[in-house]
Amino acid sequence: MSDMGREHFEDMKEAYALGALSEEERQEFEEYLAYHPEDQAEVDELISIAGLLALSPAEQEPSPDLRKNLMQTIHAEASAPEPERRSIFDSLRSILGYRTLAAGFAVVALIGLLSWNLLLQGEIQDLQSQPNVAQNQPANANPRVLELQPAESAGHASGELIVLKGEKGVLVTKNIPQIPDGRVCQIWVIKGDKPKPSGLFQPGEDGPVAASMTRAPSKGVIVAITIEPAGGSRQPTSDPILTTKL
Amino acid sequence: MADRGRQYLLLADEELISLARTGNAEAFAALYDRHSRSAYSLAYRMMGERQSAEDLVQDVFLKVWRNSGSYRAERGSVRTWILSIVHNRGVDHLRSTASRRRTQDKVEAESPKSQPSEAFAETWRNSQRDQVREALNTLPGEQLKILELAYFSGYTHVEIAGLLDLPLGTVKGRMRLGLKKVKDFFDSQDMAVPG
Repeated sequence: MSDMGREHFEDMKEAYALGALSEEERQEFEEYLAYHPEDQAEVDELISIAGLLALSPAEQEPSPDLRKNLMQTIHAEASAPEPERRSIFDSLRSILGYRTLAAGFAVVALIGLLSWNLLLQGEIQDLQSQPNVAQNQPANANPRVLELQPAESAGHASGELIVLKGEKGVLVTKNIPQIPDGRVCQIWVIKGDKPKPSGLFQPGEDGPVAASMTRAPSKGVIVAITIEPAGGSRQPTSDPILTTKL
Repeated sequence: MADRGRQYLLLADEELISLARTGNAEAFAALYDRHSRSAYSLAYRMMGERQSAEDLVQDVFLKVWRNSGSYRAERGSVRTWILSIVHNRGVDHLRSTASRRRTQDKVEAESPKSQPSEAFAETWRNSQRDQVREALNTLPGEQLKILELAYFSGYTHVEIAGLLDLPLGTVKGRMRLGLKKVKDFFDSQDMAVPG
């Protein structure tokens, strides 16, 4: 839960709408919003008003070459096979759809039961030693472990979602392909068709990486990871590389 | 081909984006023709020079093409969505390269190159643009400056306070008053804030 109180929210909301918070402040603000959805409408309105500034610059005409170059790329991609054209939800459907929930849970249960003691005990101990991660979780808390399903583009990436007591979620990922500079892995909690940002992390070069979720992975949601610009995005801008459904 | 292109001119943005999602390049081209000028104008205002602005716009429209499925009508118009991507990526660029320049004066000094359009939709968009400019003209200079430094130049409120040698509370207060004044302008005209 964010330490940010109502007063701080009031103090920061206009700067947030204008994109004038530092990265740390922005994350803190979004964490507050995650726990106070009743304030979202007010923030959305401020974002709409701030967004009007985008209409104010003197009109400039882009060069015809820009259109030409862009459309060359578009035509090449339009005639190419499908993979890059799918939305996050199409991808989720394809990733999760053909794996029935029952089978998924069976795999989760099997892998969870067999590997948890061997693999995740140590990782949870590591997590417990970190601030903000698995904080205040008793050593004998009984976590749920769900396997993350990789997309085809994710190579050998794998991971597990550990749902600790109190619906605190921790993701442990491995072998995520190297991502470009200026990019991060972003966690999403998707309820219905609304993805909500739920934390950022950098994939490790070797070994597993643990990341705590800023939003509770409640029952029925989908948890997904996408690659986003540094600082994260408000909405996913790329297809998910790892997903699981609770 | 020309007839098909003409058909796309009649479609709403939401229909074009749906078609683009299915891989329809012509629908995407119509979308580009409709919004590239706004996107480029914003990009140019932020980047301050032509090449960077074009790179940004190309990057944004490729993103629109590849992620058209992530557009959500309930969160605003297609134009708002595209401009928000331009803005977010522009700010990312300004902050990551630390090559931020105060471009306002330079850009404002250049003459606009508005081109007439026969399309009603374009006229409507221009009308909205005029309303927004009118709203911004009601702001005191010190409020407008702070909104512009934040929105177009990607400065944080703390950085703006440092740049202008103002207390942080003053910067926040001017942001608050500036946005409120814009809202009040639309409320007083019985107009909805363009989405």
